[in-house]
Amino acid sequence: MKLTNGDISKTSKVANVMMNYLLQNGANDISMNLRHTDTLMSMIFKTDYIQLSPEDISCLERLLNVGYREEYDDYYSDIPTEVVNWSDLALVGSMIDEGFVNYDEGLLKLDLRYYYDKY
Amino acid sequence: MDKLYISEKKSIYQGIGDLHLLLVLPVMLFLLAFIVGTPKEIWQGLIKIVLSPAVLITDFISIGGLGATFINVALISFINIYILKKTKTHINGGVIAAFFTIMGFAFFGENIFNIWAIYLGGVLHARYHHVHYRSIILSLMMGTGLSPFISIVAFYFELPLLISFPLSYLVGIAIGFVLPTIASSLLRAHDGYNLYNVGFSGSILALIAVSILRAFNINIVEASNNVANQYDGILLLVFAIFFIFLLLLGLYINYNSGNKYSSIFAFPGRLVTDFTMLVGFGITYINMGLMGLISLVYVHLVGGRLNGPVMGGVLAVVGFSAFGKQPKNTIPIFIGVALANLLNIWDHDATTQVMAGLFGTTLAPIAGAFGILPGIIAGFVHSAVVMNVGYLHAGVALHNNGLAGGLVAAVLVPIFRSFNKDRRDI
Repeated sequence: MKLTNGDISKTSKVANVMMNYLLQNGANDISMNLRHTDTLMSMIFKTDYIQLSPEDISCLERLLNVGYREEYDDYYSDIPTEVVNWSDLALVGSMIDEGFVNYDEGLLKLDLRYYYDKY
Repeated sequence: MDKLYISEKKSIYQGIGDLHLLLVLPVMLFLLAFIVGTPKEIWQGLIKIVLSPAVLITDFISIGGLGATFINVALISFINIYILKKTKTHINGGVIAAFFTIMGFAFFGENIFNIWAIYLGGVLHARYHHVHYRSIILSLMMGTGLSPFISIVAFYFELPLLISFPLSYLVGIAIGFVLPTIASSLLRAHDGYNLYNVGFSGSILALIAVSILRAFNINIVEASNNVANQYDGILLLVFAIFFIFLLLLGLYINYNSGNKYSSIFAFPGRLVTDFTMLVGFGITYINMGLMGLISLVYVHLVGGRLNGPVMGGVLAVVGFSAFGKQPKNTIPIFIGVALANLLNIWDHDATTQVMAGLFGTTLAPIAGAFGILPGIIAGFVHSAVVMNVGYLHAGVALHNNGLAGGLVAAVLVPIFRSFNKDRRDI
């Protein structure tokens, strides 16, 4: 399936916010895997050692799963983001369907998914 | 980043169930209308409201009476709740902000005739661009601030009704069709530091349209500028009760306490700051109630009176208190505008100046991000700019302060940033 301009804009926005978030928190080695199929867009971020408290992880997980909000998706994807705060993570959460957070001994893995054809 | 606190776990207050909260004030006003006016007065008042030019500043209370205005506000609210329900839109900060702003506009420009065409234009936009109607609902709701344009074309263009009536709807449909695209694009002009972004975009659209009309010697009728100040007491009582209700509801959801309310001060408020997602509905409602009460105090401190347009400003502050505004980033703007009003040539208690203070809080993110003094400066500058931009769109855009706020933010934010080069969080 061919991506629309909106899909590309959203994907760039999500990637930009998440990369900035990881860099802000001290990640030195980040890999991102983007997979686009007929049914979903999946972005997986893996980092080397990154220092996050249990509260940080809990907030991250909650905000990435605030639920897809169509009314925010298109409209706010153009807003620039340089430094990430909780509001930006909530915006990312409102642009995706699911966010899986795995944090184990300093290694963070984020799996963000957006499904096409929700209706 | 500061620690994040979420205020509630009572799921009944989350999601679609919150439509019931949006109903509280409109139902209150609907019932009150029949206490302050007879059905005959209300009907006649509603007709006067519908036939009015509705351009800035037209106080519907002055035109049609308090009862008819309450009914107009209630009906506009019911229509919007129906649209939200029909489109299965989630209730969140953005929706609350748009809803309360619309309720406010129904006191001085939006009526049951002139809002429809913009929503119809949205239907065309959604079909043409293959997007869900829900994805543009915020732009359309806020975009109804251009509704006076429809009234003007329908009733004040000196054309036969058979032509002017459909023409007015075509104008509205065109607005609804293009506004979502423009609004999204113009966010970059102010980087999200002007909360009334659709207002900014819509006013620019109106400015261009009015300029074209003027080029062909078609001028927009001016508003009477009469405001009804005599209902200050009853409006104060009704809205103070509602804001206290919001405050108490928030306290209840927040485990019967104001615990952690101060966590909201950590957010500068720049777009997109949705408090319902970040701190939950409990703290959000506490903030809305508190900001409503602060707004009522502000109006009276600067010598103003509650009337239709001022109520519009108060409700916009309350709505956006779910979407970025909180006391710490709003009060500096109030101070800046009030200070300017003491020094400038205009009457400090005039409705336009009181509105400048209330709607000027569109610049709250500047105070939130850069501090108290930049916030005061932003308020000061805004109060001057807003007095000069109304002519550009001839009052057909109710978001006059959104236009002024966008211009002020576009200029001041880069300047304030240049003084804070070491900070990366702005």
